[in-house]
Amino acid sequence: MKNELLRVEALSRHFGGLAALNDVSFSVATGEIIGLIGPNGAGKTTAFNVISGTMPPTSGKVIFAGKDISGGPPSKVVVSGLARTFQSTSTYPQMTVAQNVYRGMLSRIEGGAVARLVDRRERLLASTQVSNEIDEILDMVDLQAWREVAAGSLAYGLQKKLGIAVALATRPTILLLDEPAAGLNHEECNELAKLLRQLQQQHGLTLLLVEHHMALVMELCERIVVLVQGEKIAEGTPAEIRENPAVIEAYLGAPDYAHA
Amino acid sequence: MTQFSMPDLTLGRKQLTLLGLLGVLSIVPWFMGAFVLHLAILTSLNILMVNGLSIIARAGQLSFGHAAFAAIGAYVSVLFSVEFGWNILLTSALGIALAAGFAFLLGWVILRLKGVYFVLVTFSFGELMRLALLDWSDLTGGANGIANIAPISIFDFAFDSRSRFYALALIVAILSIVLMRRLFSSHFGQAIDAVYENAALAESTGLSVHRIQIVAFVLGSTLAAFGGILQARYIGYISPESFNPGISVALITMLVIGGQRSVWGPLVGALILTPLPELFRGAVHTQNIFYGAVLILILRFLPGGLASVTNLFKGKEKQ
Repeated sequence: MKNELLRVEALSRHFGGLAALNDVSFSVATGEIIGLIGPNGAGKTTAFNVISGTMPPTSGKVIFAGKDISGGPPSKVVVSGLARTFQSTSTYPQMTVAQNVYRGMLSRIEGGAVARLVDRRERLLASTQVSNEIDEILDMVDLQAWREVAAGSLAYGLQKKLGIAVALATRPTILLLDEPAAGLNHEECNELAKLLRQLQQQHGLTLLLVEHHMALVMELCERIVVLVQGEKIAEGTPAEIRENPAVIEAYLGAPDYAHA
Repeated sequence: MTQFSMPDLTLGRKQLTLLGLLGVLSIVPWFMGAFVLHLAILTSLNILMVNGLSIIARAGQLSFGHAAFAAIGAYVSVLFSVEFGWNILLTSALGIALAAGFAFLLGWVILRLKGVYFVLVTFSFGELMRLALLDWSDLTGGANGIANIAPISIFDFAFDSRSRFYALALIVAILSIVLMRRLFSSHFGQAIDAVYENAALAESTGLSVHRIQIVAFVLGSTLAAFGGILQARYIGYISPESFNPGISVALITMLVIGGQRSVWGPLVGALILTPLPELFRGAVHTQNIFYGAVLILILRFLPGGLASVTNLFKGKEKQ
């Protein structure tokens, strides 16, 4: 595969006797939008948590940019360039939108005593530089109008967008999105699709979506990985997945995927 | 488009007025006799120690072992001075360094615990420290403690009177407040607040919650050790009971009543609660009931503590 960025290698995660994730492998190329789908209980969230370092795998590896990142901790995974968003909204509610984004930048600029000793990267950006970067990120997600508004008072859809902005503030090369469309109305969903495509095309971001919303995945993703009961049952382009009998069966043969 | 700026350190007019009043208040004890001077010294030391506690609390953990770190600082400093005759600056540095080391090791292990579990372990640590000091009587003097501790003297200038020591304690207290203001307007201070407000989000943006809590715990415990050292040199006597878990609880009470999320909380708490037990010596037992009631009322109706009442102190922090 050309320019492989992320490789999930024979990943398993057991909870007691239950194999929430069983020997799942796939890889993501640089600049790709890939979707991870499956019915409820398929192991999508487990896969998401293991890849982002929130929980360690029982066996298998997550290789990101040539490095084994399995087992986290998440903060370390993020610093290496793999960021995540949350399924429900996750912000610092009392802080303004700009301050939320600033906090997303902190891991790159914060000169904590210990970090300064062990990390040689350039830190402690000047205030104007911070301000410019905040503007840049708010422009990317079109939240500039809400810059000085407290995050907690934003509408749900905007809070989810802010979640993406905060993740972008870490300057990731790949962004893992945990059900970005959950709770959004039709219009917001279209806007989200536009935003994600922009991030890929204009900012060269690689995206991995874990998603329930079939229409969004089919429209947006170049490749789709289907999980059922912890196992990968199919992988391919949206057209291939749509025709795949195993996938159709897993989704009870529903002809209308929009609300599977 | 407004420019993003770090929290502002300039003070508004109301804040300056209040600071001026505090400045006058801090000078008054020199003219009020020994007892008031004594209270002022204890208040200053409590401001220092509660500031330490507040750094830990702002990172999301409540330490019930704060007095234990004061004990480490005090005992190490005093013992090395008594046993080896080392210079007080050296033994103080050693006491602080050892307390920091202890905090690092303990923090590394127990800061993964959350909420009440962390509280329980730090409480146990405080009690263990007291018992260890009691038991190790060959070295520590056990329950009798160590008396006749020489006062601090730097370059032949001895802080051996109340009025001299108050000058030292006051400067230290002021410096600790300056440190707090600088800390919580720095990137690292913002990271501490981020961890408190949404640990999962902070972690997912590359801020290691564990690392930040360890640094906060070490920093806060270091201030406790410093306070313990000063207290030992001021009172001239230490025993395991000088640093029992009850002291930790008293410091927590000051923090909660003063305000946990404000730089001014520890100041307010120490200022109000240090003199009270000394003034109401006659009501030793009833006053604890009173503190308990006040604590519950504050937590229920004023979670931001007294420092949040006016917002005069908070100025631009609150938007």
